Amino acid sequence: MGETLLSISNFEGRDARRLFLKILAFVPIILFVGVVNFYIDPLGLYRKEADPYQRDEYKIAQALVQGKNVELFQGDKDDRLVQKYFVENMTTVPDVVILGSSHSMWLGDNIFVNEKVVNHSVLGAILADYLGIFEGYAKKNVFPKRVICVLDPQLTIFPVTSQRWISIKEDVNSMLGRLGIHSEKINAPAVSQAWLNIFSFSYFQEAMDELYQGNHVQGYRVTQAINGKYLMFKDGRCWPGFFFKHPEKNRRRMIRELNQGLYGPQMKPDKELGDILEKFIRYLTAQHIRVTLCLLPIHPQMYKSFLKPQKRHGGLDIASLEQNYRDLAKKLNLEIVGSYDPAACNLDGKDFYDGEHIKNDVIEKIFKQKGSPCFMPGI
Amino acid sequence: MLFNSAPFLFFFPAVTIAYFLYPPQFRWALLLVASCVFYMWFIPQYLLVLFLLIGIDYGMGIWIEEARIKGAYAKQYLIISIVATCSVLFVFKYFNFFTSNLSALGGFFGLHYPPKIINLILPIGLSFHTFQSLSYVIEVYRGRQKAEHHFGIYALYVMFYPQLVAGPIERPYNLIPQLRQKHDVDYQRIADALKLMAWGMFKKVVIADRLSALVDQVYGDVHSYQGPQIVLATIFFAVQIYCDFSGYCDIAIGSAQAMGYRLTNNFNFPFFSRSMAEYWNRWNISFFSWLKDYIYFPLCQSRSLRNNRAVNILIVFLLSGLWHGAAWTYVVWGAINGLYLVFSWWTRKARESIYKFIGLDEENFFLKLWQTAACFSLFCFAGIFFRAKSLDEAFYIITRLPQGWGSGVLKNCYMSLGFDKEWWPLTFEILAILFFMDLLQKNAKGQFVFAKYPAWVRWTYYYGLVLAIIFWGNYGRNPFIYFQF
Repeated sequence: MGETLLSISNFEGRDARRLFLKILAFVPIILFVGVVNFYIDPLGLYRKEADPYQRDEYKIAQALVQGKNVELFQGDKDDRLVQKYFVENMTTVPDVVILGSSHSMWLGDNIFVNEKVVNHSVLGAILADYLGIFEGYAKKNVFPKRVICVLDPQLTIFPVTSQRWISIKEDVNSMLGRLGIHSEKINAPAVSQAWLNIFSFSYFQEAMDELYQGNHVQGYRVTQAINGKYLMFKDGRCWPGFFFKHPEKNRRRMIRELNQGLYGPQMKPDKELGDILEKFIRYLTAQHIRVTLCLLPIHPQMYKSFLKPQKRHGGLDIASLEQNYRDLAKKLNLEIVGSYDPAACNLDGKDFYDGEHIKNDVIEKIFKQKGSPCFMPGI
Repeated sequence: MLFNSAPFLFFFPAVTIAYFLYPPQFRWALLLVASCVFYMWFIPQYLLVLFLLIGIDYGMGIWIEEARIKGAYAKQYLIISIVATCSVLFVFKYFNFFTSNLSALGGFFGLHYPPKIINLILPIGLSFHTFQSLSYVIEVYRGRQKAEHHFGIYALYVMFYPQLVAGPIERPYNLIPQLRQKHDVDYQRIADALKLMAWGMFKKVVIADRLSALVDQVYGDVHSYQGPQIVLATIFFAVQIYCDFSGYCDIAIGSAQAMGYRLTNNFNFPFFSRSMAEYWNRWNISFFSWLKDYIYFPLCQSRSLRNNRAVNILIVFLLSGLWHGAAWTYVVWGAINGLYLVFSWWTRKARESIYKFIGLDEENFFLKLWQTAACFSLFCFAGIFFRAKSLDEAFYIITRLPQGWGSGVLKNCYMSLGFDKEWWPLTFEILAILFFMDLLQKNAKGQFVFAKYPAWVRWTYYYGLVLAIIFWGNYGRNPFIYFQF
């Protein structure tokens, strides 16, 4: 211990004070980051709604249940919450339920003409979203006859690509409980963990973006028009038009993200998440639900990138991922429609709005066309 | 653990404070444990690979010294040590490259056999600590370094966390004595270290990661772009890799400096070089001086290559390319840089005569500007091979370079790259900041640039730097480029 004291002997009190004061001078900046993160809170990590029934999402869900279309003025509505409240408020059980992402938002009663269908697709969906949204049915113990489970490439990769499911975390945890699963990989951050984010610079940047773009201003209206920028239809279908405002820019963004390793080696299809998906599907079939797995074609360029693992960032092997899902369908004796391969459905770049999303008329065509690998058989 | 990640924000002050509170005779143990934790953050199992390397060279170092004193077998031990150390590197880094090329060569001669591919992830920084280990055994063999008998100290020499994963590659006679010294807390040293680390962080998260967005976009989809976009992406890549690697080195040097260790300065403002030879004396200094000391000089002294400077330069640069990655793109990158040097050496006298004939003084501003710009352009051109995914792609990129330089080039460039209009001015502003800061630092000759300015100037700089890192930094997705080597 004497040695320790010796080693700091030339560190005089004045120096210690100077160093301490210098470091202290940066504390206001860090506090500012914390305050912005807390009050803007883009992911709702620190927010507790006093009355969820006053939320726009609840009112939007009510309008949808009443058979009205809704136009959103901003794209920031929490679509997970809308779907949660939508299921909670339903008075009749749909025949067909679609669990999917932005890729499948245009599937609805345009495809399933003779059935009552509800599309629960949410932006950037991952497996946790499917669990949380379907928990609404499980809680009510009423189930649709059929579930279309859209399997996007990001569905079961880890680390997860989206944290938006946190707003329905109670439902996600509840469904995990039903499945008898405790997973660290789908685990909403505890309050204490969320507090670790309070000084996060990336969270701060998200908060500042939200503040700068004015997205915190809520707004929607019930409408019958279908030319709005972001529409939610009574069957749950969505038209997130703002997505497609700059298709070329979005395509480039996609290429950039591919190269920056959005689906890099650290983001591999995860076995544990794959097992959770399997258990979830087994749970659905145990409720006598007909489950159809659906693979939606992806943009040719994106498909090519996924086929050829990237030099710098590894990459997702899309062909083997598709094979895994086909094996799963075979194992559980499920029907599987579609393919990630755009060539299998005769699609090229022109059939996409941007780097990821198939055009509405094309998606309708391939799902209705008999003989197409995407052909969706009716009930 | 990445320097640009949240855990490091806790790790660094915790280790530094604990270091000074720990009894000096046991500080090596604290640093060794901290280095293990730092490394295990990536892939814990690969700590075993690292200890295998440490074990081999620790034992060999002692044997080499004993054999040298006895006058027998020292060279044999050195060869065994080099072969064993390089074998580890070969298995992890070069085996697949070697076997697939062997298979292709066999196919050329009609001998068809499928290449044997082993799926191993390259342990982070393996090339760096392999070279550091080799440096130790070679120096022991040469008698410039005593064999280290304290296993912990030797392990720490290889594993010292600030420079563990991407250098600077330290020489044993620089680092090992420091590991035995007692370092006191020093206010000025710590303050300087923190400033250096903040500047390194700025270069990494604000500049390099920002530029990578454009570079990755263009190089990820080269068929969609023409000359102007590719030229811009190539220039940005040169700046990106400089900021990425020198930013890493600044943080590494700063975190060691806070505890009292002096690591080798790895970058000396390479973009201000006036010749390619000068360039490689200013870029990744510890690596190129390693190549010079352990490859180039021995080649120059060897009987067969004594008078063949050009061949020796080419060998060194081919090896430097191969060191960067097991791919032909890197080999060609090395070869191009070697050829630059050879050509520059051959034409030196002719160029000097031309300057003399025109009446240009060595210190003429325009001559300096021309030489600096020419060096940077040559570096960028070679960088196409460094960044391209394959040789085919690199050659394709070169054929695209002359295209698309018609009217409205700036507008086309802006439209086709698709970045927001706010992205461009901010990008060029931070590039201007980098340029002027490097210029000021170069002239400050090792002193803190604003040291002699009033407090308000210094504090504006500190606050500006911190705010820029917070507001413009890119977090979470981009590891350091040199980690893959």
